[in-house]
Parts: sequence; C-alpha cells; structure tokens
Amino acid sequence: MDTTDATVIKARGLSCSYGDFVAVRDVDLAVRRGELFALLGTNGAGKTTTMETLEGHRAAGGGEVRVLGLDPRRDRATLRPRIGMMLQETGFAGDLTVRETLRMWAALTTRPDPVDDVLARVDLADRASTRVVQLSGGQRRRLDLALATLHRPEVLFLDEPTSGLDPESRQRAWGIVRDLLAAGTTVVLTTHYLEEAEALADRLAIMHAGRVVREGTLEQIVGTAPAHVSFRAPVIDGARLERELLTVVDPQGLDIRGDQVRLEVTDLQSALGRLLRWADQHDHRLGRLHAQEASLAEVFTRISQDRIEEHV
Amino acid sequence: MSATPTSPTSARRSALGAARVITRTELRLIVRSKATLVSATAFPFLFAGFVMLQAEAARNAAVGMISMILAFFALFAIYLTATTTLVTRRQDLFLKRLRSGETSDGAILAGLLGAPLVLFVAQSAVVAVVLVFLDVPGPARPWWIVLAVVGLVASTLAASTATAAITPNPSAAQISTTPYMLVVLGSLIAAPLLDHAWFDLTPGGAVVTLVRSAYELDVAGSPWFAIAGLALWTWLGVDLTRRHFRWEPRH
Repeated sequence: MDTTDATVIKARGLSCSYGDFVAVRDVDLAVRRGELFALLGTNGAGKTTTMETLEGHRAAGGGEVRVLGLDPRRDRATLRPRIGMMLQETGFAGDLTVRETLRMWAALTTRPDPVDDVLARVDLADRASTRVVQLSGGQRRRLDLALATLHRPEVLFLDEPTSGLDPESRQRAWGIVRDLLAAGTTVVLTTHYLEEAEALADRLAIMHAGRVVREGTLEQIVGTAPAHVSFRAPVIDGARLERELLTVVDPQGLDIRGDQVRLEVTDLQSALGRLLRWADQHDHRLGRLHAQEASLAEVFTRISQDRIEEHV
Repeated sequence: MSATPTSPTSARRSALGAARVITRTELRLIVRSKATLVSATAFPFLFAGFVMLQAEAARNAAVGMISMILAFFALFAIYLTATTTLVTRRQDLFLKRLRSGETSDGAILAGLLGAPLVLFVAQSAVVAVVLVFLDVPGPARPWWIVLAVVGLVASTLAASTATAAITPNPSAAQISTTPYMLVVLGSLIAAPLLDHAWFDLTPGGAVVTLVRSAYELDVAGSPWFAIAGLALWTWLGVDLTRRHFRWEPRH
C-alpha cells in the first residue's frame, strides 16, 4: 500500500474482531501530515480498537495499516521513536513520583525533552515530588499527555485525552496539542467531547457500529445534515404561505405552527437567498429571522438515531 | 519534534539499556513496597538462618544447607516476587504503558525480571560470605554449583512468567504460585531421603544432585541428568509463557 508523504496514516479495509464480535469492519482512513484528525463515535463504535490497531497494539484482523509508511506491528522498533500515544486506559507505577516517572520514560525514549520543561508544559511542576498514586484523575491524565509528548513525536495518537479533565485543564491540554500541531505533528484524536473535535479537528470521521459512516472536514460533515431557518410568518393565508415556500425554497422539511415557520434546507446560503428575494418581491416582513447550519452534535445524534432505527 | 525520520539504529535504545532502566525502577518500587520487600528478603534470610542453626558441622548437612538456601532464595526472591510483579503490573496496566513506548517486549520482560534476579544475587552473595565466615568448606567441583544456580535461576524465571501467564489478578497469585512452590520444596526435601535418580528431573532434586556433585558426595542420578531436568523445566516455562502470556488483563 502506497503511503505518500502527504498521507502519514492510511488504513484500507481494516477489520478487527474479538471472538465472534466484529468491532471494526472494512474501515478506510487517510490522515494527512500535520493535520488533526478526529475519530468520533458512540461507545462501542470501534474508535479505540481502530486507534490501538493504528498504534500497533492490536493486530488487524483484515486489511492493511500504514503509519509513516510502516507497518505498526511488524516495524514497531522503527516506528515507535517517531510516534507518541496516550492510551484511553493505561497505568502508572503508583509508588513513583511524577518526576521519577518522567525520568524513567525519558530514559526509555529517543531524544526526550528536558523533564523540567515537560513538567512545566503540562503544569505539573509543583507536583513533581508527589507520588503518582496521590494525583487526581486530571493530573494523571496530564502526566499521561506528558509521557506521550515527551519526545515531540511526528505522529501523536490521543485516545480521549481530556476525559476527566476540568475545563481549565482541558483548555491547557488543547493548547499543548495546538503547539504540537503548529510544530508539524500529525494528531489522531478520539473524543466524546464534540466541541473538542469542532475546535481542533481539520478533518474528522464518525464511526458507528464498527464502520466509518461520515468522513471529511467539519463543513463537509455538518453539510450532510439540513440547516434550519425560522421566522415569524408574514400575514398571509397559511395554505398559500406553505405553497409558496415549497415552490420558492424547496425545503427538506417545513413546519408551520401558528405564526412560527421552520424550514429545513440542505444549502443554507442558496435557500436563504431565495427566501429573502421572495420576501422582498412580495413585501413580506420576516420577523425574528434566524438561520443556522446544523451542528456536529446534530449530525452525530442523527447518525446514532438513524442506525438505531435501522436495527428496529 | 523529530522532523525527519530517524534511522532504526539511532532511534532504537539498546534493549539492555532499557532493561536496566526498568530493573532500576522495579528495585526502587520493591524498596518502597513493604510487603514485597519483606517477602523478598526477610523470609529467605529467616529460612536460611533457621537452616544454618540446624546444620551441624557435618559435611552432608552443610551441603544440604546450601541446596536449601539456593532453593529458598530462588522461590522467594525470584519466583514469588517476579510472579507478583508481573501480575500486578499487568493489572495496573503498567505493562500496557511500557508497551506503548519504544521498548521491545523482550527488554520489558528482562527489565521486570531483572529486579528479582538482583535480589537473588545479593542474597546469595551475603550467604556466601556468611558460609566462608562459618568455615563451611568450599566445593571441590564448583562448576556444578554454578550450573545449579544458572539452571535454578532460569527455570524459576521461566516458572514465574508461566505462572503470571495463567494468573488473572494479584490476589489469585497467592494460589497459583502454590503448586510450583510445593514441587520445588517437596522435591528438595524428598530427593535426599528417597535417593532416586528420577528426582533429578524435579527442580529441587536437580539442585540437590548438582550441589552434592560439587562436593563429591554420592548421588543416585547424575549431574548431567539434573541439568537436563532444570532445562526441561525452563523449556516448559518458556513454552507456557509463549503460548499464554498476556500484556493486558482479561476483561
């Protein structure tokens, strides 16, 4: 499988199973150099299995995986110095202090940053002498991030990096990730926080039941769900209003309740243009006009619901 | 950030260096864990002291004492410590953590087993000095002792990884370690009493034969048979480990 310089991670037809349960089926992914690629999905969607296969922790049941042109399992020794990973579930030696943990990891890592710099980066300098067992969940997650980024890897895998972090720590973690992106690191992120993906991701994929069901930029993905337009109806006959709106705007959905009108449209800009021209031509006043693109959360929920309905 | 790909040679830490780092960390953790420290040091020394007190000046007793001490140290310092360490580190997901880095599986395992090995060597060195101080005569054929130690260490390390492979959690280790402990201690006690060549195929019996051979005492079997016995146990342990060892806990 060819992995061009621009594509640093590539999966083709990736499948993984646990016994009879197929966790990931026929997944194709391509992550470009220097971008942040977010992998979203409900619990059990197959994100972590996909991630752990890309990291080389699990063998692919089928298909091919390349990271920086290498097989993550077969070429582990060559690949690992170039990647960093923050696993969803992992442990520490609780009786080591934070500094001892970082020193040990630095001794096992090619070209680590100075330990004190890393401690400052993740805001754990004041906890350097504290045993890991005494850290809070959020502090452990920050230590996790410190270990994953100790050597400023070319590719960084972050599996739910901000779970359990308070908003301030989350912002700080995002800052660290942004710095790494600015320095050219490619980041693959899984998260349950959609706003995290919206804020950070260049491109994203949504997984459901082991498959990638949407992939693209935020705009492309959000564009797959209808935008909403609402306004207070002009004073005209309801039936006529409905007929004219269906003709002029051609919405996906139309709901008129009392004087409130709600439209669902696929191309917001074009639909809004037609609506405003129609209103001007007929001298209609559209009170409380509100237009909004679909949100990622809406797309996400729609996917989950659609898939649930498919199974009912 | 590593902007350009590093060559495999320069990127790879030497496995030995990585194992040393992990061993140092494990020794630090052992020192900080009172329970492990006591089981790894106090118990063997208590047993050794007890055996020394029982031993008379007779040569046979001194030789028996050496076999006992070696087996006790191997069981407590290596077997129990290594098994518990591997199972606990797996349960705590620390093995998974180590595997997420650059270190190879072999180096991780070597590093984790290195700490109990250091304990064994340190304890044996202390006892060797004590034996010299007590004027216990040295062996005429010391190489058999060396082979006994090497074989015992190898088979015990293999047994500990194999036991860890089939032990689901740290509390289960208290039960899963019992059979091998009984085999070693039982054969150690039974071999000199029953004096049969087949005991050379047991870990305890093999050590007894090799130590007796070092002191030119009569043996029912042969030191080569005893070495084959220890090799067999080592192979068995390695094979079980290869087939069943997991780096992550079962869910």
